[in-house]
Amino acid sequence: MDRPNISRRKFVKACGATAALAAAASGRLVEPTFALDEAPRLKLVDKAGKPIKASALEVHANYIFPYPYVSTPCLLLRLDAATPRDVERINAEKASYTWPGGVGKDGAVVAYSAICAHLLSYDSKHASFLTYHNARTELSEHQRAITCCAHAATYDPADGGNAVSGPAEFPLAAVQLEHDGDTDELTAVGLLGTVLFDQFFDAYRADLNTEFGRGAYRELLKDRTTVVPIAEYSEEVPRC
Amino acid sequence: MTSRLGNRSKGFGRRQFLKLSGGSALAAVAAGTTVVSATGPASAAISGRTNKPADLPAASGPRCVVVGGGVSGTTLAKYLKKENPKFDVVMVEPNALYMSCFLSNLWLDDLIDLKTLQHSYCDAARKGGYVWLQGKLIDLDREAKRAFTSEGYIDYQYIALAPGLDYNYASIGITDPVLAVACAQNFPAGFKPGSENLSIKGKLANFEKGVFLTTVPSGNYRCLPAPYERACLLADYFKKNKIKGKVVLLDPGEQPFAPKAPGFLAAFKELYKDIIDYRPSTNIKSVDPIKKTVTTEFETISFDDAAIYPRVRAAKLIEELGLSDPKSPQFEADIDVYKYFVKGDKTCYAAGDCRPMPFSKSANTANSEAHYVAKVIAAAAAGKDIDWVSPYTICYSMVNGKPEEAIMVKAKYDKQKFGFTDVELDNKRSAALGLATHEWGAGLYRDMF
Repeated sequence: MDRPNISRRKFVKACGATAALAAAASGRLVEPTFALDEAPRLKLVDKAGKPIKASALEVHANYIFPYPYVSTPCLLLRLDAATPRDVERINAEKASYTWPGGVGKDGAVVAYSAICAHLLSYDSKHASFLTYHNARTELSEHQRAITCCAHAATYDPADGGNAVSGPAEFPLAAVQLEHDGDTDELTAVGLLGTVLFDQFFDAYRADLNTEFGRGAYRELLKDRTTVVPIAEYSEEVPRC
Repeated sequence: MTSRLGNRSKGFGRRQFLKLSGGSALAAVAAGTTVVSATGPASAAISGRTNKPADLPAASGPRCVVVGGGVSGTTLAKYLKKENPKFDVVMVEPNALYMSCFLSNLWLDDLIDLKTLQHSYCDAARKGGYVWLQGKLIDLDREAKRAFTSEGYIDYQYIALAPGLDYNYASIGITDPVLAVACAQNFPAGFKPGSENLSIKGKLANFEKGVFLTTVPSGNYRCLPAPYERACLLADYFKKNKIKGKVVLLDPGEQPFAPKAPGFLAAFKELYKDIIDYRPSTNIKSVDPIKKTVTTEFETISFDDAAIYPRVRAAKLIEELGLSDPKSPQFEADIDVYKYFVKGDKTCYAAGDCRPMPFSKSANTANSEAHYVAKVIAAAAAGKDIDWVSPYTICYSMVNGKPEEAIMVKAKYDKQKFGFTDVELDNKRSAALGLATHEWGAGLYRDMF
């Protein structure tokens, strides 16, 4: 998986597989709502529009950026150690895929969809339920893990978002990042694993229409995506 | 029988009887079944609906019938379809809409609105890819694999019974049916949601002063922490609405539900000292719903209003179908405790709160269990077997309304004795857990609807 820009077929396959399966099963004809020509390449920038530097990210801090839609949040994390490389994971359809590992000079920068793979709790402007914690918490006995406050689904960001405890049955979708060794800048270039956007839009349509404007939640971002610390993104960030 | 008809009324012969009763009576007579009661007259009102097929599309694949549209039933229906898209799934549920038991205490204290609790079975069936038959199961022929409902019969390959619970008023000394009805209607418990919860909410709106009595049942009742959470939120309601009321909570146990006892007791003491009158180690001997008194082994207590929660039992349907364990004090289903099938019949399953295992009778438990039981049934249909998976109990209790603060417990069950294992708990009430409480419920609704 050394080619960062995954093809349309693979992208749509990743996103649409679950929807297509569901559509075929029930006999309804449903177009995946997010079929794309190409996964967008978005430069990670700060609020002022300046590209962020990977080594300027605070270790263990939670950052949010939307990818690839204006309404689909992702977590950006800089862990405290290089992650393993080329990790094999299994998606919801029991097919395997390869997570390339963390990027950056320290090989520790990772990003994941901030939509829980259990029952779609996510990080919204109102509250972020799915966050990374360095230390153990009451809800999750794991350290250095992403835990969801709703039902304690827990994922390992150093292991391709693998579900390590709790009720999730497959990993968090991972965002593929490219790191420029010269500029230290980051670009989001695709998604790996089981992407739940169809179910996400279905579950939250009313809220998303209110937040982004009717129909606007499905706008694909172009060129860049803005990264902010999680406390600036959400009103509430429960520590659970 | 023909002679009885002949004797009943001059000139009312077999032909007229059959014409009035319709073809199904003809079929019944031909089959030798008794259509007419032994003592009463031949009734033209017998529609014979029981003996006609339910009005459903022809089965598109192996048909799975799910009885009950609660947490267990809706989850089972959806995941049976997911596990095997070839299954033709029909969920039989009589209620016109779903009203949630979990989170309902929050509604009593105006922390959520009613629409959070109410959900459409049309939505559940549409999204889940199954048929909702609005009706009740009234009989079951497991040999013929025929489920008789109020809307006609359904032939099935697999049937999963998740009819939930009924109340056992005899457990609190009420054996007179007149008093049982009075208790149920005048002081509904609120654990079979719908009208019961609407009534309780109405009582609170009308409550002016005095004693509002609530009870903790004995046995393994639905939602172990709920009576304590309810006491907290009723007290919070009184506080914020400046009602001079007391919440009396009668408990046969020595302390609140063990894992969460510290959190509840702290809330009772720190937040509701002058409102909650918690009486542990108190057994109810009798209730007089007319005089509005409860008699314990120590005294007789008068109340102004109440929500009286007696011991629960598996839905009477389980017993009526001959599927309950005679040794079960709560008349629960006699099933294989690892694979959920009725002993000796791998086409008939029971799950949810009618189960006999000592798992917590709670929403998350039933939801996680149904995911597993759907897999068990799909595997059985494929001639396979799967390993046992423990249900997952995770549960938040809102103990403060302003600010909203909750406590939490999560656990699984060990395979040998079904005791709690992997217990994590947080008895320190917090706003973070308060937020999590809402999201926990929202996630379950997303999974069911």
